[in-house]
Amino acid sequence: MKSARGPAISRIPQNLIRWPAAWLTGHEANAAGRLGLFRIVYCVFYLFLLIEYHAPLLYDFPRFLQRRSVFAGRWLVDPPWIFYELIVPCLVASLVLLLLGLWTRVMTAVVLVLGGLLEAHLSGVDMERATAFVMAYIPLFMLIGGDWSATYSLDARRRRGSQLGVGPADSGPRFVLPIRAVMVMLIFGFFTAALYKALPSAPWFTQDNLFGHLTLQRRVRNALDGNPIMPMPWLFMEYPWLEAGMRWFVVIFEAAFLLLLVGGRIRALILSTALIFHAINGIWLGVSFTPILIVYFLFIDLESWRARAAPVFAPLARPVRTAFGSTNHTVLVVTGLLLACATGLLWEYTRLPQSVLSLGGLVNMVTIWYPVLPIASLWFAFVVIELLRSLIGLNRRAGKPDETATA
Amino acid sequence: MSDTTPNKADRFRIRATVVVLVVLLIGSIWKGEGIDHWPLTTFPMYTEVYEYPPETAERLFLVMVLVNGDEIEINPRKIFPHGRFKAGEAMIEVSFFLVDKPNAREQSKRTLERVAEELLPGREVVAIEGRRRVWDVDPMASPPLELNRPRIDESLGRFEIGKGASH
Repeated sequence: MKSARGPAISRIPQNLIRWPAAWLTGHEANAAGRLGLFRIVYCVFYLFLLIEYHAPLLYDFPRFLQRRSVFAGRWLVDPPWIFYELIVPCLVASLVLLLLGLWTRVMTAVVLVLGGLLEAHLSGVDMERATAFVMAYIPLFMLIGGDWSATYSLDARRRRGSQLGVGPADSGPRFVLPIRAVMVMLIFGFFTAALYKALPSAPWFTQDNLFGHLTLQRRVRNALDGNPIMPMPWLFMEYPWLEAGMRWFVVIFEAAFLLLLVGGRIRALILSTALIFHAINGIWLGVSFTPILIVYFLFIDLESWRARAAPVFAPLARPVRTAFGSTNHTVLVVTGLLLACATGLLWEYTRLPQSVLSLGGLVNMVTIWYPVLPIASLWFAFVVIELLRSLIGLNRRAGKPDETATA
Repeated sequence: MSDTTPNKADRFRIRATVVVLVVLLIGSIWKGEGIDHWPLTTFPMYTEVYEYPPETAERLFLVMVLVNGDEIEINPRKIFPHGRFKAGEAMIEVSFFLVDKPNAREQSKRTLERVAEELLPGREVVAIEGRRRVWDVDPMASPPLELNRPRIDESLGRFEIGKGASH
């Protein structure tokens, strides 16, 4: 007699492929609209990051201080000066075209290649940059599995003319895949960071008063850089239990990223905590993970935000939409190209685009976290309240006699 | 109307994404670096980051100097009043580090020369100057260092723009 185990076991390899595929294409609200808006936010953020970069400076940077990256080590060991001169303006122009959604797939590939090459050289000088997502993973997964051109782009406008358009609420696999793939990388990054810290050979748990020394060292660095200085540095030195608690909190928090797989309020709880964590690190500890900020926008329903804000901005948006709708596509393409070229040139020869993006120097790698901290804290509080409410609701239901059974 | 059923193109996208994910995950484990850096760099992730200096305030900063070498800061707020320098604010933030290795100081000087010679001629910039500054530090104080009174403050070279590098 055949047992039921046989067929069940034979289904395991199939399920091993099916389950991840099903998770990777699971439901995400307003996925198409989110990706379109995310593309715009991503390009603006990437341009903002480029303000800090100055590739030509690396031309004669002492070679023994540089570490060879995989890209630069294999392809461009010692690039000519023209590489350093051209790479940033070309990347800027590509980002402007990508922002407009013009030839989106090609521009995504260009941004991936140019950004990868640039970062390969820059990270040879400064390793702690947290730029892998913005420069590599996001454009890579958009290119392979995603489609962020379907909404809010000139490409989408052209497709709508040929009846091939999609709506912002569409949550087909090509819109969900890149969101989930990037999430996998984020989970893996944080989880392995927790593992590395927990290794017996790692200094995380063996070093004496790690947080105390870190706080003091960063205070000096922040003072030199003119950044906010962390108050009460003596806390970690005076109270060892607080210092030990911080170490454990960081490891548990990083490992908890696995819970992003669950979704729902748990996902919101982890993401809001992560933003608070990054903001505190960025503002007071000088441990800036600013480039990673963009990843979190991928998991937020920007489309619903836009829909909520739309009535407020309707009087402003209406004439723009009318003008945009009545303009010939070729005119828009030519305008987009001119805008991209102009921005690239202005980036190289003036400080105008940089000043606009940084609001005249007001926004930088530290100050960008100032609004994030209160917003993320409110989000965190809201999620905790919601979680508590649902828990209390569950308990009450569990405490009540089953009315249906009584009936 | 939303259509979430994968078609042929979608199935290809899913397979390609899964393959790339597997390659990236295996690659980062194999390199032992974590995805934060691989494949962009070949740095190990947690080697130098948490090597902290010893306790006392004075040594705290001095160890930083020993690890990273003397620090040359370029302060363009004084040197580039028009803000027309090509590298702009980014350049302001860049510090060069001299480490205790042969020719390090010379190489950093050459970097400054390159900035002066190749990037700045013809621009509204007067000069570029490298300075070495070391402050006395009490990290528990607020602020933790006397910003306006560095203990060592010496010029490592001034480069007149338009006249070639000279110091």
